[in-house]
Amino acid sequence: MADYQYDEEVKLLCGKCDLPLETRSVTLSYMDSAFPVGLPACPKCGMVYIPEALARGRMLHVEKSLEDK
Amino acid sequence: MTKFDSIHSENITSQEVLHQLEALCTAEEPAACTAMCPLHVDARGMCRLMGEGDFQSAFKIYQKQVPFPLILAYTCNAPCKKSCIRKDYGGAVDVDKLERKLAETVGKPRKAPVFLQRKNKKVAIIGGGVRGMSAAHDLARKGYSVIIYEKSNVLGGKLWELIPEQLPLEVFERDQTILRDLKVKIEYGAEIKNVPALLEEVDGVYIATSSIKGLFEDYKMIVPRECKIGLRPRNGIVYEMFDGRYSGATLDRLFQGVNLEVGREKEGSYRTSLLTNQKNLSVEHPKDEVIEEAQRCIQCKCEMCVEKCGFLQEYGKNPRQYVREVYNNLSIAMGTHHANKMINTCALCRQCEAICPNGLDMSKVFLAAREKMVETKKMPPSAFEFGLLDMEHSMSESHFLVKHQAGFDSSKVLFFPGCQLTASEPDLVKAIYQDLCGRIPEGVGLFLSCCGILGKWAGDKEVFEKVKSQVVRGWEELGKPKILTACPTCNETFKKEYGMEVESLFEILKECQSKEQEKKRMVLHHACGARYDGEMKESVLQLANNCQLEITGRDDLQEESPCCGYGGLASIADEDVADHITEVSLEQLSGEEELPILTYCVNCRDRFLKKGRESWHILEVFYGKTDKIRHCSPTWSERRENRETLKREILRELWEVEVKEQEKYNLIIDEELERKLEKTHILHSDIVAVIKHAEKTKERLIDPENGHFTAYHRPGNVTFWVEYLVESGGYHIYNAYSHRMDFILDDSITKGR
Repeated sequence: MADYQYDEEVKLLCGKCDLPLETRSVTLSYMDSAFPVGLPACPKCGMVYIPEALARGRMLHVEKSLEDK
Repeated sequence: MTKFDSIHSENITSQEVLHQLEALCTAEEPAACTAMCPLHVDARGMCRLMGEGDFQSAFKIYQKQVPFPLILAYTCNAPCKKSCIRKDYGGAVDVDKLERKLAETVGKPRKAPVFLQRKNKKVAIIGGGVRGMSAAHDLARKGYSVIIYEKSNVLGGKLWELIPEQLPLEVFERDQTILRDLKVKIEYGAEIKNVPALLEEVDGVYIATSSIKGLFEDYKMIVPRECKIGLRPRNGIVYEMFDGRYSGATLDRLFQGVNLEVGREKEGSYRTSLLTNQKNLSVEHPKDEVIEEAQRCIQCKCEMCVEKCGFLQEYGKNPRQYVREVYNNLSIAMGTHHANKMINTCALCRQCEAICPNGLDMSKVFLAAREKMVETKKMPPSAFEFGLLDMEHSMSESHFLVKHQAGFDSSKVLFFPGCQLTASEPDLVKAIYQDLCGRIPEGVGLFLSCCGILGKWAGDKEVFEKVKSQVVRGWEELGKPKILTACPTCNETFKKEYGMEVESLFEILKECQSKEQEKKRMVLHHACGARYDGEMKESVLQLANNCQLEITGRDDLQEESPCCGYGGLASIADEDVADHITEVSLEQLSGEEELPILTYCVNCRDRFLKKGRESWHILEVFYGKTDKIRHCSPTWSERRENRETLKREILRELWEVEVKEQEKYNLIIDEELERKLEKTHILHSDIVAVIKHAEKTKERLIDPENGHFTAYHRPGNVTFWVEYLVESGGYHIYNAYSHRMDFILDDSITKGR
């Protein structure tokens, strides 16, 4: 079970499969630490989408914390 | 040779080294007045508060150190004045006058604590003079049962010589009520002759009278009248109070089983090691009005380095505290390394070393820390990676070049412009090279490369050695000609880190006349790479004269020259801190009039230009300001592009080598996004790589409303995301961002990357 789920609405479609994205299980990893999360991804081909707010918000925060450990 | 030179600062994780380094910074030492006062009254703090008109708080500071504040305020002979720095600038601050004013206006006797502790030891004090009273006060406050045996029928001893002319009787009586409140017993008319017999009844005796001489001094439970420590001569009531205090502390140590002598060097009067800048101090004579007199205090402090360095100011500490933070940061095995950012944002310019009378060089401390972090794999991967990748670019086929002059098979000298001059002013590099070829007929080789200093600054010895060996190989291939540098930092790196004999371009050009003859007054900014290179500074000055420039001579801009904020990869680790360093530097360069700045390091010029300040590189001026001189601070993307273009053009034009043009991607990026890319270290080449990858694999998301594609690519340790639209003739870029975390889809055979 993922600790974090991205639950904002995502309008993007997968360019390859032409399908709306769904929340799927993804593992984020950095410096020997792994985090199971739920992120928007194509239900068919699995292309994951990481929104900017997440990349420059929570993810950046975790990156910095791990780097200073 | 400074005190710093004898310390092995590279062993910053050793406690011994830490203490040696800490001792060099005097910022936390007491002011001269406080150290000289045997009771260590904070006269500086008192003056500050009185100067602000806050007498209540000033008296609190005074009272804190003095057992009988009112008595002393009326009788103090202010030994602090002997050490006051103001002494030579109009006369020492009249602290005795200030003390008395405090006593007259807001003075109150000390109060006994509400809960008075009790200890199971009894002390007898023979003599109720100032010494006896002080010892009684201090011991009773610590909880001991104290009895004073006084031969006469009053306390005070010598004080009676001062009552009432100097010390009003009422004040004397009011101030001694503290002894009653502290439950000190007093026996009047009691003359003690048999001290050993007295010891049968009590645990310790303090002989605070001169009537018992030379007796029992070796007897450990009996403490003599005067203490032997501190500076001499020592006379006056304040020293008597100190004797009592010292003897009371001796008995306390005795009862607690603590060594009686160790660590007491700084009880009593001593000279502080605090260094105070007296450079701009002017004479100011004593004032009648006490507030004005208090304001004459110069508030001694040693923050000469902090005042001039944006980095040291950034974290609000003094070097002593920084050294300890570095030590602590390197020592923790588990937990958060809070000082990483601090360690990585020093510009390593050594201005602090030049300013500090003890030569404390914080750059060596921070560099040693970085090297230790890399060695122990504790360096945050994101700290300097972007800068090191930029260096990698300079060392790659895209820029690296080492060649004899076209048509020559040997070189008299080898011109080494450095990786940033080629990035900022590629056409200027071309012009200089062609000019040199004309001046030196025996052949001028060209060496486009980085000297490796970026690796050194990042604390990565391995990376530095790799670059160094590539440079040495190139140099050897050309028959080891003398290297001619255009960058002061390259020059210093070759001399110090390579052990090579190199010459500066300025040395060669100093005899030449410039075509540029526009008279101009400028302020010369010395580069950190030339901080101690008098010869280079001299050449630059001569060259400036040849360009008809009038340079303002300011001593404070010589060895103590402020840092532009480029060095040490500070701007890679944190652009905001580097920005502050630049701003503080510009303030110092401004002086009384804001003249245009002349630099001889292109990084300094770029950083000053970025802040909107008129500044010129001396080579721009010397070779004339043509259209081809860019004269602006390029973005990270432009730096790479400029280096690549220079190599291609110069190969084609001078060596007539056929060079393939690079595949062109026309990116349409608005200014706001360009600023974001610059700040977040995303290059145009990163964007192109994402687009290429997306167009090839068709792995991209699409916004049904506007048709924008969003795609990502992870060529190294960073994933780049780009939102774009294919437009006629190029790609319109709407957004780009990045993250270092990697990701993988869990429940599918299809991976997320």
